Amino acid sequence: MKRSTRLKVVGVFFVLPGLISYFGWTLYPIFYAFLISLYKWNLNPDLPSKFVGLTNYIAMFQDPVAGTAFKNTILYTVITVPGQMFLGFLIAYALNKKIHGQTTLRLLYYLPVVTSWIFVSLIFEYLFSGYGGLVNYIFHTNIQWLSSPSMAMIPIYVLGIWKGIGWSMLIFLAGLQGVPPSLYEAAQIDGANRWNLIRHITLPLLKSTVMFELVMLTIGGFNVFLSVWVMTSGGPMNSTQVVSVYMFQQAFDYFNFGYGSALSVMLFVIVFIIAQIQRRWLKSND
Amino acid sequence: MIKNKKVNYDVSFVLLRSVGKVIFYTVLIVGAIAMIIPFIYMVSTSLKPMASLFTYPPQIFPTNITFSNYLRMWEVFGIGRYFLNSTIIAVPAVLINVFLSSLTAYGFAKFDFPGKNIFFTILIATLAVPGLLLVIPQFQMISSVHFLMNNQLTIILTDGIGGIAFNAFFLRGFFEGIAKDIVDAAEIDGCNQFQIYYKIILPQSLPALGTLAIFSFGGIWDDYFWPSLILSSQSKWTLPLGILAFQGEYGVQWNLVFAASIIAMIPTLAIYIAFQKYFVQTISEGGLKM
Repeated sequence: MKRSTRLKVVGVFFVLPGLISYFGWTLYPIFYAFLISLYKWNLNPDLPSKFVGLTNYIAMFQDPVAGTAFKNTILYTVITVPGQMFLGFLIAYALNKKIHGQTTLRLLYYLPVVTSWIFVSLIFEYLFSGYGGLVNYIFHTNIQWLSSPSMAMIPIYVLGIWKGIGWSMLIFLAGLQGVPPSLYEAAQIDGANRWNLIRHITLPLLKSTVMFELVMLTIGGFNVFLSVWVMTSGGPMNSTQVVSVYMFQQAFDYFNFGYGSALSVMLFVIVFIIAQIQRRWLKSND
Repeated sequence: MIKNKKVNYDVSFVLLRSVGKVIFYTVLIVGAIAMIIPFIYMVSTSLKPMASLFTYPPQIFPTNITFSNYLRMWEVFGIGRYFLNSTIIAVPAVLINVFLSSLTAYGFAKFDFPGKNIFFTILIATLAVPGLLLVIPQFQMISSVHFLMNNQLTIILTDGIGGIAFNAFFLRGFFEGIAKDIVDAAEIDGCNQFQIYYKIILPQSLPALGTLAIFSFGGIWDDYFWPSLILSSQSKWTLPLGILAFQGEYGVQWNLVFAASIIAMIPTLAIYIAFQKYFVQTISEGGLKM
């Protein structure tokens, strides 16, 4: 066998196990989810599933709880993604310089990232408890955070930003290391102030970093699940309902698998469109 | 006169700079405190007896310290069982995940084969797919095979093959960065392609593989959603399932809940602190470009 042909065969062997599991466990389920969303689906293969066309989607548009879930999910993303990116960038910018305690500070900011959503959600539930909660004590307030429909999203936003700052910081730090210091020096000689330096030198050079963060954090934001699940389960009165929690409840509490799939397909379509727009927009800003 | 003025200017300038520095450090430190206060409060609550839980003002540093909450979680609640289950699942799953991802990434980085670009484009395109979309069909696939339900092996395998697309994308950049002459030299020495991968590429990429292993471990160790669907017997539960069930039942006993949570958090934190110096290095070298 020729060397180049042999190398091709070897290459296929390297990627085959990964590709098979990817096709079977990711790509196939994506199409399967679309299919299930068109049925009144029955998990048990012995019982027939009934094809209902777009009924699940029509029901979704008429369901006020689904409306709240999508509204909250989008709001959560719109609030927490810029929050994480802005604060993460500020801290990365500050910690990129050689300062005392640099490593310790990085470690502290990154700590929430490596702790599980479950446990930080439990802490936040306790911190924001109405009676004797630490947050009410520190700010001298008396708010029933998690049991009042108008307030209950706030602890969820705060947790989302708090937990993600470290990740955003880390990715920005990695990006900042690629900015040559000589560029700053040249600009400083030209009399540029710090804001100008950030605006015209740092940020343009960090474009791929910003894009990566924006896309990843947006996907993460739309997937918000455990914090809501642990702190409120979507309550009180569905005021903190988000798509993932509602899908979980519809599918695995009420066995509406078709409807649950329709919810997740809708979420996927929204995320996909937004990711495409973000990519275009950042590319066109060259 | 003029000379004096200049001195004054310098003094105020220096003063302004040090005031700026003080503000800068204060903000950084206040931020860092906001990051760790929840953890400090968690640890301190786990050391409180029941009676100190509801005092007002709340005690950040408890006056009475007791370790009995940890003992109770260990002896009465049996957290050791959940810990063991989590370990039995996470360790092999991470090994499978890293091995499979590195094989795939290396195949894409080093070799040419028909359809390579199409396959890689598909991998990248589906990075934006929310995990949520996959849950119902994946559950349908598993639940139709009786043997796979309520079986820890299912979680090991499904976690082991999960996230390949992102991991391959993450690792490919590192593999492409490995100097070609090292690989060529090994080939001349008579190594076959798998030996090159095993003896040269993997050891050269340890920081990247380690970072991936830590991310993968964190995700698997903390996963709640998927195992809660598959593992119905309590004896097979992992830490997140056990602790959330406990919190659902004894919600207000935060001292016990947090004692259990801290036991569960220790492995991830220990691994992270031990390997933290690799993170920034690894991520800045990798191909985080889309």
